[in-house]
Amino acid sequence: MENVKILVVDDEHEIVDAICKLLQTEGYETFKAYDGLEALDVLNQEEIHLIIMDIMMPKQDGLSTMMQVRMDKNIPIILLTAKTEESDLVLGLSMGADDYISKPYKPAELLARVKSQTRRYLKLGNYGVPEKNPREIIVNGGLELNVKEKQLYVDGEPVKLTAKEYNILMMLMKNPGMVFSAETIYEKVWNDIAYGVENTVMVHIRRLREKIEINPSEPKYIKVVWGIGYKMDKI
Amino acid sequence: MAIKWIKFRKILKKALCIRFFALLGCVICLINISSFGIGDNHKFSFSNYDVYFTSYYESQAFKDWLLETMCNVEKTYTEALIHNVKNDESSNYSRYDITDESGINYVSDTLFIEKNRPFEVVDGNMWYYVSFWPDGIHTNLNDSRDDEFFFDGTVFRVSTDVKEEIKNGVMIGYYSGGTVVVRSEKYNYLERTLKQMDWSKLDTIMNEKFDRAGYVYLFLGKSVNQQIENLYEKRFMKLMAFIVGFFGCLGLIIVLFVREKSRKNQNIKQILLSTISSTKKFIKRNMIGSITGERWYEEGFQTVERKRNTVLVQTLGIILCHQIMTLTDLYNHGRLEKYAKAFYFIDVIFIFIAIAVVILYYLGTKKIAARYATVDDQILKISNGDYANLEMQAVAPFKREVESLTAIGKGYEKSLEERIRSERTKIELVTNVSHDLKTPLTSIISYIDLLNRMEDLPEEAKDYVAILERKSEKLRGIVSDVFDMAKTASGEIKIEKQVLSLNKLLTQTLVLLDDKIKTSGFDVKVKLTEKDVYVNTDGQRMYRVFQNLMENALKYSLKGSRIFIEQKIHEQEVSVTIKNTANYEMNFTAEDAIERFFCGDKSRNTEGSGLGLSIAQGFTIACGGEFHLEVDGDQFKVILTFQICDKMEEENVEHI
Repeated sequence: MENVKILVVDDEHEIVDAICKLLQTEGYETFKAYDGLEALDVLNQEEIHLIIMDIMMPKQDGLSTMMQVRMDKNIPIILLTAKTEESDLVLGLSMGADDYISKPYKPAELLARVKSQTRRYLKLGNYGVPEKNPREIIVNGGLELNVKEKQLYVDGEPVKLTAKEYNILMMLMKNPGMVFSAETIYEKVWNDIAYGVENTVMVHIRRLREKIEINPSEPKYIKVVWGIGYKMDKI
Repeated sequence: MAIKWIKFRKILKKALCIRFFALLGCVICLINISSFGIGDNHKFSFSNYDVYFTSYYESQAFKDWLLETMCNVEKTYTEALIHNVKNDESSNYSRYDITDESGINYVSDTLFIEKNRPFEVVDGNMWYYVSFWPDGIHTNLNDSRDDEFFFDGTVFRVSTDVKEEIKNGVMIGYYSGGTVVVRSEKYNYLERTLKQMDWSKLDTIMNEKFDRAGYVYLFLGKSVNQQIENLYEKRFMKLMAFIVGFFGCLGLIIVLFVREKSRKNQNIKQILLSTISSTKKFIKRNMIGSITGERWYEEGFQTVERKRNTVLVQTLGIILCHQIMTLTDLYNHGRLEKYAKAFYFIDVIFIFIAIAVVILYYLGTKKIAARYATVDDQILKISNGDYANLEMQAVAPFKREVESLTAIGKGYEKSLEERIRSERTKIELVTNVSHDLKTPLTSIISYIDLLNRMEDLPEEAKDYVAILERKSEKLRGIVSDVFDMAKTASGEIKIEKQVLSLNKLLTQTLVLLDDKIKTSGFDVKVKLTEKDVYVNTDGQRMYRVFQNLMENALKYSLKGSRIFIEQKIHEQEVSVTIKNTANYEMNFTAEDAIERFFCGDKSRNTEGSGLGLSIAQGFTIACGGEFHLEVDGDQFKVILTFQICDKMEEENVEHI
């Protein structure tokens, strides 16, 4: 496979260097930029497959740079930010970012997210893979549930699920954004009268998370609605 | 400054005005009182008797003349006596002492005093009056002038021609508007002389010389002065107490009623009750004090004000007392009707003055009460923390009080503002610092990771890198906690409340912590209510709280001990208690534990940032709960309390 090209943008040179070295050890080809304008220059010259970008930068910040990129390119963008305030992240995601990671990041997590995004972009996205029958496949972000094969693909990689896990996941994925109480899930999945089932359902959800989430303690797909139930947001 | 000065001058003017009237009232009543013969300059010794008199229209010249006359009369009389005794020892001259019963009988017989209106005898002293008025002579002696006035051996009298009178060796009186002396002595030749006099002349002269009425009191007898004084004292005190009490109460009731009425949110009954009780207190403290000349107003009145009010009250008392006494005396002596015109004129003036004094007193009291209200308001404002609206413009007599209170309020406000500002600065600093720490920390973590990936490192270096990795992870945790704490403390965290099941929230939290609980080896006893209890709170934040508290419990519990989680309902509240037994001696109080950066272990050599409890408390309060912490021996207990929500909002959950 040809080298995956990743552009790293941050005003801190050391951080850019560190990320580049990290990615290089994993075999990625990296490009550096220290502000938004430089990043746009690099993008014009090279065919980049992924951008890792800081939000707070001199000259032109990450968000406006991202908007400019999005005008003609569909490459995945991971926002890197010290701003952990949720409003910034929501804004970033709604403006077209594919993922975010907050500083100080864990290198392993950064790598996992990079892998997930590149795989999706190169294998699943508009990068030459033909569309599958939408009726047989439920897609949400990097999750791809093949109903016919009863098989789940996470960023293109097959993941094994138990029957109960599969049913729970299908229920959530079919109804993105909807909140299900533990009782409802139990009644539908176990086909039994729900009584004191919070524990059981929660345990399954936890295992499910471990299988599909990069960082189970900061889940991206299956969210707990505290004190009420569970849901999956449309990504 | 200018406004202040003008205001001050206005007040000064008013104060002076009140004082002027008070002084005027005083002077008038002193003149009045002196007509009772209290002043010594009107006392003459006349043989065995003291003569007291007074007049409204006296002048120095008149006084001199009177004194001279009296002296001469005394002399002539004595001479006549001696002469009489010498020349006519056998004559039926006799001398009566009116202090004897026989003397009294004699006098009353000889003077034809009306039996139904006997002259007054006070401890053996008599007093009569004879006054000359434009319309004639009035006396409490029988006043049929021609006959009764001249009778055997007694005397009196009167002439316009004083010298002539003296030549005749009689005594006496004289002065228009004036008056008389009564002697219970018998003089035949005096009688003759008097009979020869031309009485018609008197009226003529009186009409010419005196166009105004006047009157004179004469007191005859020994030590009358003392008697009069006693009499005056007794009546004065009684009357003054009555008048001051009556008008004072009236004025105060009005003042207090008006004042109370102006206060909102009080019903009439309350106003009346408080008015009555405060009036009672006020009178008890102040009115009685004013009579005895002691404190007028217990709290904070200045000496000057006290004096002023005492003067007002006393003036009022003196004037009214005098008027009543005068009228009583006149009535007793049956001549009220004849004096009516003149007395009414004078009395009306006095009554007006008295009323004016009462009004001024009322106004003065009202003003002071109103100004005291300013002090009252000031105190109320300070106690309510309303520093912005403090009264700046103070007026006497509470200028100093109001100003001091303003200073206290302003000072407190300032220190409060400073405290808030310094707190805010501190939090901003923490936020900024924690934010600034993240960038270098990111580099550190990144490079440690790169080092970790190098395979050709010596073993020793690998150990070092492992340590660096652990410690940088810890630092990351701390920075993140500090950031959360700063946001909570500055109130910047977003709380998204929702009605949710506390039972489910706890179960979800515990399941997520299941791994940690299992590896810790602690036995966690959970006791939740059977039915779901709903509360309105932010689930995400409360998850953090329970997570923090549970992690704390797992970290600091004694090995082999149990951790208890219990949910309880108390009427409209639900509480969650987390109890554990500490693995170290907790030599700190509950308050210490919540302090930011607190670590039970003084050496601070633990994994935590010391912010766990502080964040838990901040989040709980922000989410609408109560956070309570107890340290009892080795037992550590956290109690969270929430208001129970009756209804679950169904739209939050969609059932299929």
